[in-house]
Amino acid sequence: MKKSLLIDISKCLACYSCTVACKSANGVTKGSFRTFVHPYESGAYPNVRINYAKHFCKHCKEPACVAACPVQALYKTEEGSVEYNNKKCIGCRYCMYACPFSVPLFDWHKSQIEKPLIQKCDFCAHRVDGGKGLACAQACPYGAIMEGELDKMLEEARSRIQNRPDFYIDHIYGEKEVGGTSVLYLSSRPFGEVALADVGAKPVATRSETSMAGMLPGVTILALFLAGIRWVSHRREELSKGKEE
Amino acid sequence: MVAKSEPLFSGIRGFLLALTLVGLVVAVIRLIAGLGATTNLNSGYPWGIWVFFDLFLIPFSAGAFTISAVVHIFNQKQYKPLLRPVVLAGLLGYSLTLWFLLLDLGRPDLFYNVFIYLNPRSFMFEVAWCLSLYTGVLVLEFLPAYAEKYNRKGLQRGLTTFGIVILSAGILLSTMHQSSLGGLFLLMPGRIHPLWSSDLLALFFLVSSVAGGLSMIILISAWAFRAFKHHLDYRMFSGIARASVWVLGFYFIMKIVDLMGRHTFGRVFEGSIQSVLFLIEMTIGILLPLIMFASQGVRESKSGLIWAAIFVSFGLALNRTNIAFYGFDPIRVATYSPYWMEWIATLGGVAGAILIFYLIARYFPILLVPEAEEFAEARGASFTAVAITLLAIGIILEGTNPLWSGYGVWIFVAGLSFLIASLEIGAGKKMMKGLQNAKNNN
Repeated sequence: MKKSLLIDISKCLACYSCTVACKSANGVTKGSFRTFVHPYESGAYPNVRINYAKHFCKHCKEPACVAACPVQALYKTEEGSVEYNNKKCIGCRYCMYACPFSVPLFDWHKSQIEKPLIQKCDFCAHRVDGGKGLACAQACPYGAIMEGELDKMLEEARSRIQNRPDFYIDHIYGEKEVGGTSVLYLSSRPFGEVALADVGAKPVATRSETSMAGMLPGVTILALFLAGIRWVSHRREELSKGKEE
Repeated sequence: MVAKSEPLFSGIRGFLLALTLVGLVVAVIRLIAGLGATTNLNSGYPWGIWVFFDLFLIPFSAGAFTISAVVHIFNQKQYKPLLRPVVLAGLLGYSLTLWFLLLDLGRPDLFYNVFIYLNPRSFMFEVAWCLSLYTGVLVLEFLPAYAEKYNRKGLQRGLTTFGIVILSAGILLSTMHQSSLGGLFLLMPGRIHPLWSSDLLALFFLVSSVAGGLSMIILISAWAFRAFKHHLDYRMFSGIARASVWVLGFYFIMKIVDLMGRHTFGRVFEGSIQSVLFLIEMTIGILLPLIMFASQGVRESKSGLIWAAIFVSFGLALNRTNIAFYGFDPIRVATYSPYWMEWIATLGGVAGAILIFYLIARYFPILLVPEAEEFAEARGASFTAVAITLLAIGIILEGTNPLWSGYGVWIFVAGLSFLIASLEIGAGKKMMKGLQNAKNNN
């Protein structure tokens, strides 16, 4: 079963229940966040709007952070979540650069003794293992966060758009973005207005991995080339020595 | 080795020592108090001055692998006297790089995880491993000077036997990580200004590092020989200068073709800060030194060579800063300029490296050793066997899980190094002799 969350931005009223529930459920210390709700202003008088969007890890199908992490501290599980092993992480912060959604955050405020870590949503890994649901979904009083299986959530999103085609933007953010994500968004306003940028449908790591795949063949060709040059240049010297004699 | 009459830490060296010590104190504070308290790094700019310095230091230290290739692969023996000072500078450059990386890590206490949990899909894995392995290789490349000074015959024999293997490994690891450094930025396509955000970043980093390496050979030799008041015949650099023309020319053409291929050529003249910086990089950093190195007058003049080399290094440093900072769109709205502690730790590190170079050059046979590094030949057959074994192990591991394939990469590279060394110089001659013998016997 693929875990999934459906976020309906039009239903969010910025009560921060999800943020607080996440912090207490996962023991996120003061100053760090794994999810946060931001207000976004749009439109002009008289149609001014403020929408709120919950930002957190999208749990991509092909996560760039997992490709980036040099120590496999970030990894993809079979349920679809991207989880984090805080015993492996060396704090290089390459994941912060790789993530197209700018999700991972570093505990800047912690001293070395307090062991700073990367903070990102892990789909409440320890709660789900214990048979409980996601803290944020259970805390939301407005039904803006719905938890379920990925296919069911896609169906749900489609039927909501179908039922209110004039209200919703006809796009499920996360269905195709960067190769598909486990978090889906519905919105009544253009997604760009709530900082859900157009990141393309191609997985981010593709370009890097194509280049990476060329590395060993490239270095093999180089080695043969160097061996050839070395042989020729030394042979030439030998021949010129022979002539002198 | 030089006259020891001069006091050790007087004048400029005294200042360097003070700076080094202050830098060390600040570094220790950083390693206890954490990144937030001692740096201006933030969630918009998670990497700062230490990573930027590493991005320059690594291509600046490319002199080491370039000179090894020039002397031992291209067999240009006239450059032998420059081998040791430039390799030593490379060793210190890489040690400094590792030091800055350690300071920059969020969890320096867990740095060794890089060698336990491997992710061969990550350019960061490749950079971290290559840097560590290559620093080790540079230590081995420096060891002949140590063996000579303390007359360690056994070590000397081992080094002459495996010298060419060590050197080949150094060249391969260098080309790998110089390009991987550019590869790092491939994972952030939307964040880098289109003028630099090319699919060929890895190749650009490699080619420009060779240009930088050639220039660093000139600069480091000039500085080291001057510091110890030795005479250096600048006419010897004309070959290096000519090679630079080719490398810079190739780099320049590649950059232009890449821009046109990506339909971004028009943005060169868009008038933004980035486009101006790009133009400076292309003209002062590439075209100007290219023209200078191409002119015979400059090639024969000391100051001309040095200035051209300085322009290349400047262009290189600007290129790396442009990609990592000026042309970089922060991850979230933020600004970054280094905190004073970041500056002091950085300058302290650089001062320390210069000082250590001076001390080693003073007490070890580094300068004026023209006969250094003769390698034993006639190991062809046994080296070939080792090469094939290592390559086979590497390929087999490649097919297993990510962890083992990560180790496989480095075993494969070791195999390639033995392969380069196994192509013996006398091989052709011996083969002819063997054929002749066979004929005679018949």
